[in-house]
Amino acid sequence: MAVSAERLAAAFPQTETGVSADGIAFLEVLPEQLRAIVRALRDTLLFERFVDLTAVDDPRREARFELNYLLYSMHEHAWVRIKARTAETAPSVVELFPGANWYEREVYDLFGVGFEGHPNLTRMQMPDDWVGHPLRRDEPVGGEPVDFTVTRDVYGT
Amino acid sequence: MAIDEQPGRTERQSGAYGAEAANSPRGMERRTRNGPVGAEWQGEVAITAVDARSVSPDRGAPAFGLSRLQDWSREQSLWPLMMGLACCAIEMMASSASRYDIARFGSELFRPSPRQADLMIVSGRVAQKMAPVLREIYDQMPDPKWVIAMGDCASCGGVFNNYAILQGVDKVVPVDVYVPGCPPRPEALLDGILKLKERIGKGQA
Repeated sequence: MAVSAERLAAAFPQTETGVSADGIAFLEVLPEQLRAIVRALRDTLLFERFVDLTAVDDPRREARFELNYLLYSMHEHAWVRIKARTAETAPSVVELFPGANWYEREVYDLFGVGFEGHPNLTRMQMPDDWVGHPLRRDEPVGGEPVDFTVTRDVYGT
Repeated sequence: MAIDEQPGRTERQSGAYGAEAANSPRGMERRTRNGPVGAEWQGEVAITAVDARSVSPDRGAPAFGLSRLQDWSREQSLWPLMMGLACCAIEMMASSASRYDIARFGSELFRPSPRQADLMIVSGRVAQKMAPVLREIYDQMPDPKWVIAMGDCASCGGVFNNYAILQGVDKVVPVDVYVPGCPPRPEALLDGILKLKERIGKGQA
């Protein structure tokens, strides 16, 4: 069950709202508003459980990274999603939700989004001396060229 | 675009992990593939400067000629090291369970400590971060030691041809037997072990 987008729009008039394809209402905020909105959702609307933080990269846009936060309310059994577009950095929500610590480290490691106020923003999945952020759209997929018949005939590799 | 020029390689590597044994801090060796896989693999030589087999070709046989007995006893009592990393480990466990029973071939117990094992069965995919750990564990095994690359991921990177997975464990340790499969059936792993035992018994491994 999802909390309705109209209720969110009424509670946060300065943001955009909508409903995602999976039926979860989302709030579109600026990175500067992020901490205030998350605090309001946690304290006032009682979305007390931090579920997920990921990022989506669209290099065609100026603010290329869209951070997706997913919060859950155990009182209403409902999720809410927060989307924040940023080019480089975003404020960290670790003081509000300590569980976001490793999610922010992962987004930093794989996308390169810096989180201001994070206590230990270091690489987690990739080796410590890795150069680059692998999940960006303009990074190469990696691995080795493989001599498959189909790639030889179709793509000429 | 050669793998060397792509961004995302760590600064102390170039190409395969541990390309130059002299420059790499752990003195890793580099093995080559049989057959060209893309233009950059042609014309490279296998550097096995620190390979145990080249250091002691007689594998420590005593002077009074008990080497046939030594080979036989090494063959009949191969103790594998528990290097079960991923899904292939499940098949390795299955091969040590009652139906396929690896103990009847002499591998009575799997040793978690490398100091007490002589066969490292690398079963599962090796991440870039795990590769130096794997090498260190291999170095801690005493001679004579052998390595079986079990499964596709250990042999060549398997389905994971990407930035995170080592494309074949033979980039960091010398491999004696490759057992393909995803995962290989327990019988396939036992076949690989038996082939290795044959070669050990003849003193060829």
